[in-house]
Amino acid sequence: MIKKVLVVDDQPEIRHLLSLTLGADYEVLAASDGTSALEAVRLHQPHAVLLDIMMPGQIDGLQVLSAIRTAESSRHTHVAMVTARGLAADYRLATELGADAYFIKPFSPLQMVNWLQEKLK
Amino acid sequence: MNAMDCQLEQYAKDFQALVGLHRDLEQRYEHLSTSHRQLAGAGEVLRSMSPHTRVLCLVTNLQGDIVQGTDRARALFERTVKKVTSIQSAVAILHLPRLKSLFESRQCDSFIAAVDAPEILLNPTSEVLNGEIFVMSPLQTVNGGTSTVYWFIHELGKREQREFTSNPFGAQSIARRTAAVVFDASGSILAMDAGFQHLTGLEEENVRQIELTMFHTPDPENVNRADLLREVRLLGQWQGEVSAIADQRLAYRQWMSVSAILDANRKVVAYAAQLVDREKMLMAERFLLDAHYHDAVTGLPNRKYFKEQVARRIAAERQAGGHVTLLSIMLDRRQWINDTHDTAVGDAIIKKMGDRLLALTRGCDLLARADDDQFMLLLPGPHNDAEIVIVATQMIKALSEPLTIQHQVMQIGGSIGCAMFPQDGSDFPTLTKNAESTMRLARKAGGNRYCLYKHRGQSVPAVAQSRNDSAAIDQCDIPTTNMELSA
Repeated sequence: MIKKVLVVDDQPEIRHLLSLTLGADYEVLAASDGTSALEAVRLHQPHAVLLDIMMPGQIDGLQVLSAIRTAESSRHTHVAMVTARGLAADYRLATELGADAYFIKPFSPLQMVNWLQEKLK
Repeated sequence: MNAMDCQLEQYAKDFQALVGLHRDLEQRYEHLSTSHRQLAGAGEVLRSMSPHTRVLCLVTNLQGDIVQGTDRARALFERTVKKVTSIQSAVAILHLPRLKSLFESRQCDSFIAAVDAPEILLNPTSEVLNGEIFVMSPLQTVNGGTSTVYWFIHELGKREQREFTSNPFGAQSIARRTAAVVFDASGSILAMDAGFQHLTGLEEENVRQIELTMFHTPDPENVNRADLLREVRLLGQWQGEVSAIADQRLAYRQWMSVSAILDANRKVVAYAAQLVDREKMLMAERFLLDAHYHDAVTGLPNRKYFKEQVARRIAAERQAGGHVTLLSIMLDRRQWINDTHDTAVGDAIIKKMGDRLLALTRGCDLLARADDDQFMLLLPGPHNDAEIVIVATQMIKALSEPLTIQHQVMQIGGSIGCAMFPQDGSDFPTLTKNAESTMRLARKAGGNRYCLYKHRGQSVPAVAQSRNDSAAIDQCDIPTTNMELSA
């Protein structure tokens, strides 16, 4: 069965790059803000979520992470934060909220692919 | 540069890394294929040259009627349902025309008729011989005006069988790897094939002078010449290692099998002998053993060999009441180099480090590459800790000397754990386990130091690193940009 990976990022170029990077091995779903991300998680129940922290709209990445960890159906989904903010506070908060990995932009696609392969094997 | 450009640049970097990795894998594949080919070649040499235990030889007249044969060859044909009385009835149908032309072309006017005919396939469809393929090569003799043909029969190995089945008309090289000779009842040479001259390196006129008694074994106490002949007469066969005839300068080692050919009254009428090049066999054997017991990168013995030798040594010392010490030597920073550089750099480091350690060993010590970045050293008979400390200190110093590989200066360093027999372990597994755990303690304490098992917990830095030293080297930094969080 092909595993589903949800890419959440407000930049269409990043979504496109990640779709190209992961498309050969996974079914890649995309969302551009927090609200549609939560909707996609509820509807499609992806196996992993690559989540940007800073996004326009009312819900940011950390709130999406929190919601994913709270909901029973998505509690065990693998979540990696992908962010341009290398702040120690964000990193700590993401850890506390239950993020599995933390990638800082510009992220290494190789490391991301390796992480996904490790988690979704 | 905007964020997207940075991201694309990162993609390009990863792509470059993948290309490098691919190239590296290709090289390793190439290296492995070469080793594999060489090993297969050596294995093939050994298989194709395995000594004949008994010579299979049938004797016919020029019409092809079987008149005699060695016991083994006769037994082979007695297994067939239909009694074989002529060579024609034993040969595969497709080779019959070749056999016919061979008989027609026989000339009876030469003393030695070295037959250069290619091998002839023995009937492989026979139910009894099913699964085995034999080929025959004929050798003609003329004795007292009577022509006789000796058919030497070879059983083909699996690979040869495949080759032969796919192309039964193709010239095979079996005869060239072995040599066939026929001696008369008194031991004088009657005929030999081209392979014999090739194998012994003798001129044709010298070959004619050869007698069976001229062969001798390299070990004079083993079998003397008279014994060889007596044994063949008594038991019908003899086999063993022989060195070249008469001329000691041509001391080729060969494996010879001799079988007597008996007439109806069980009287010896001739001897059929086959020889294979023992030197070539030994070379192939040595090659296989080397690959089995040695590390290809450093040329040092591997763990398997080390284990066997140490186990043997410990057994000997247990009887003699002696001591040995086992040193487990781990390179401190090679794993990091492996992660950040290609394999060629890692291999070059291992090689140089192996060379440095080897330069510090004595003739009686045994150094081996035990694992990817681990060496092991056996020191026979150190009388006290001070002697071990001297060796360990020297080795750590040698390992921490900077080295230049691909224009990069690196400092690797090493950690050593020492365990002594008998006090720290009475067998190889215990001794190794203790040496390795002690080494890990030394490594944990910061590396670049040694530790004796009985003093574990107090590892000693052998070389104090100055700040200047460490500034010149690559720092062992863990990449901090992307990290995986602990669960």
